Amino acid sequence: MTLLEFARGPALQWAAVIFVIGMLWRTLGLLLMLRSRPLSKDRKKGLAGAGVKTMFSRFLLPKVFAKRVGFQYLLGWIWHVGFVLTVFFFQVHVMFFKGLVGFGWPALPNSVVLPVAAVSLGILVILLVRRMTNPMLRYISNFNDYSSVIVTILPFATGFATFTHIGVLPYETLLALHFLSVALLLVWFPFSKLFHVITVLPSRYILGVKFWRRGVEA
Amino acid sequence: MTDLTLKDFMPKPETGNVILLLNEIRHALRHLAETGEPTTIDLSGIPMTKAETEEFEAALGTGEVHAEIDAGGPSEVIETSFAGVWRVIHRASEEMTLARYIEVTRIPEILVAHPSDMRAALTRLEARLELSSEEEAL
Amino acid sequence: MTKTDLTLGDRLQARGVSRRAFLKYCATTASLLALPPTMVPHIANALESQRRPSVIWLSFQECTGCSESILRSNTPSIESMIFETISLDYHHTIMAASGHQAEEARKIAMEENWGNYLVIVDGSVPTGNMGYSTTAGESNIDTLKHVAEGAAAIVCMGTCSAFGGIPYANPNPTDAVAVSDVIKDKPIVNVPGCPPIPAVMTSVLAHYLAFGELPELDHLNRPKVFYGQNIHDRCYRRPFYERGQFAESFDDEGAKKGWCLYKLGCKGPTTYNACAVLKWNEGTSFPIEAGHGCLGCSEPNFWDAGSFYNPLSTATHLDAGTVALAGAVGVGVGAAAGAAARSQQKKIKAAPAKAFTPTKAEEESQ
Repeated sequence: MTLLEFARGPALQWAAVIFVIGMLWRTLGLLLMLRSRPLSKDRKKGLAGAGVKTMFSRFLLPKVFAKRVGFQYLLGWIWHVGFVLTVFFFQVHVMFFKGLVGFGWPALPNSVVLPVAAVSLGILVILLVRRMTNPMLRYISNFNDYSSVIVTILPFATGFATFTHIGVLPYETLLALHFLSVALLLVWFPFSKLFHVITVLPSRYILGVKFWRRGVEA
Repeated sequence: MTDLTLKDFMPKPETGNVILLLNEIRHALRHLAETGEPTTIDLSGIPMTKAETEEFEAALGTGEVHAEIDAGGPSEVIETSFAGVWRVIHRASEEMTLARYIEVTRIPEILVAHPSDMRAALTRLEARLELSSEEEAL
Repeated sequence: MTKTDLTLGDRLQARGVSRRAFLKYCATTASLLALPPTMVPHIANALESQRRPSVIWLSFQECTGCSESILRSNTPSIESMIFETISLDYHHTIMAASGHQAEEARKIAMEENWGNYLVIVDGSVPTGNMGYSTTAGESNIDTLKHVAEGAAAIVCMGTCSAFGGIPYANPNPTDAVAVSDVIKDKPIVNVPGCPPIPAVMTSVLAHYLAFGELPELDHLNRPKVFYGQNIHDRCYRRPFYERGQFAESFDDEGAKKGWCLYKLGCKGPTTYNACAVLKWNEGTSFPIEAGHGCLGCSEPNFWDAGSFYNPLSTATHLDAGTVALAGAVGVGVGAAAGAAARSQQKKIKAAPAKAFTPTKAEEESQ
């Protein structure tokens, strides 16, 4: 079995199985846990609506912090949009999903996706360097943060190398490395901070409800 | 998406090999003129676009000699407008080109009659004459 | 002077092949092998003085397509000249002798040229029940071992002898293997393809005859000069790939405009062969030019590398069913984890509250 056969076959298969099991395991496990009942009296009615408001209000940059976190907000937004466009709307990736689920969807032309992917990759690298050099960020970062960023960078870097045939490695090796880096991402995803894809909105909701109950307009 | 056909993509960007090749031929020709030593350049190893190939052939032009050889398929020997610089094209059939060479020499080896062929020819000719003199005697 | 004492030059002369035709053959071979033009006289001299080395062609589990390819290369061909160079002493399909006489011819050739003859193999070698493939009552593997012993080198013509090919494909009922799995102590050159390009086969032989050694090989023992680049890199449809213009089906607008066949499963990017350069049928075209993606026939395991019509960017073992199954397991594991967490939480809640007692370390720090 060649590296590419392994990558396209068993590696991706097992990674996807681990990904699906891991995601459902953690999601259900967290959902089913008992929540403690608040002992104090609510200061506001209609807390559920307030929680939902918090879920979405935090997508926007709060004015008071604009100067301080504006850069990070902007890069974060561009990165996430770029990630979705690259993963789900690159021609070759649409083919992958079509092979998996049996139907495809319109893809963006390469002339759009490639610059988007390049910018996304650039932003990830900038954010990683910033995390390593900014003293405050460095203090609050641990293995989970660094590893998650690096594991996300790898598919982008190998994908670029595969498409452009850059580097000394032959195409099939690059393609295999790309598949393997995706497999690594899939395996790492449910058990790391990348799991925020699932938890980000519920935790904002819970936080919002907690704040609003106490009269904090969050 | 715009309507693009194959032709829009061929020729590809230039390789820039035409000028390099012409310079190489210049050196080879000087070498031939000064020492009498020939040089052969295999064109199959030198990537050129279709347009560049045409440009290259136009730059060389055609000279006084144009020979066709029928040996294991049609081959062609063309003297360029520069004396001593020849284009040699080997084909298996009209459509299938096997090899393309630039030969910088007094006369390409493929044109010269070879001793072994001449000996065989001599045998044939002698046999023919013997036969006709026998016929005459009858 | 016996038959084998004649040099190639003498033989060509006798056949009325002119010196010019021979020189043309040498020049073409040099060009194909990417050798400098200064080597042409060397090739000519070496071939001319060749005293017809004995070649034994063994056919095992094969379809004779490789023989067809090499024998039917454009006649009267420049390539067929190679047969003037060698003494093909044994070849099932084309030899005049049959039965015991054929086997006798092989025996004599081996005895007379022990240690010097060249063995060409097409077809894979079955290692299961010996009855799967035999010649004159001898199993293929025994024939191979026996004949290879006195060989100077072995040339594996075609994917079957080089990598196992179609007989080796899952479920491999005959336990077929490649020649290199059986023979370990002889130089082996693999010339894969289903079939290989005729000019590639003959050029490899010409190189061996002219230089007395095999051409430079890659990690799969393939001659680098022909298998050094993949189809994709030399494909005239490559610009469409770069621009993301793909044919979606074999009869859509994209297919008519000659767009890239990647989406239709073309294996060009992972296939190393010279088809895009040398082409087929006397230089007429190659599969992609005819409108069908590359199958990757010269690569190991090409038959089992997923569907010919699935793009390279798809997974081979992953499908919706697997994902659904994983989903069901995930729900089960999640529910169990949730239930375990709940019971743990309840246990903690039910336990009587303990007064806070600082640990030793906490006491010290205060």
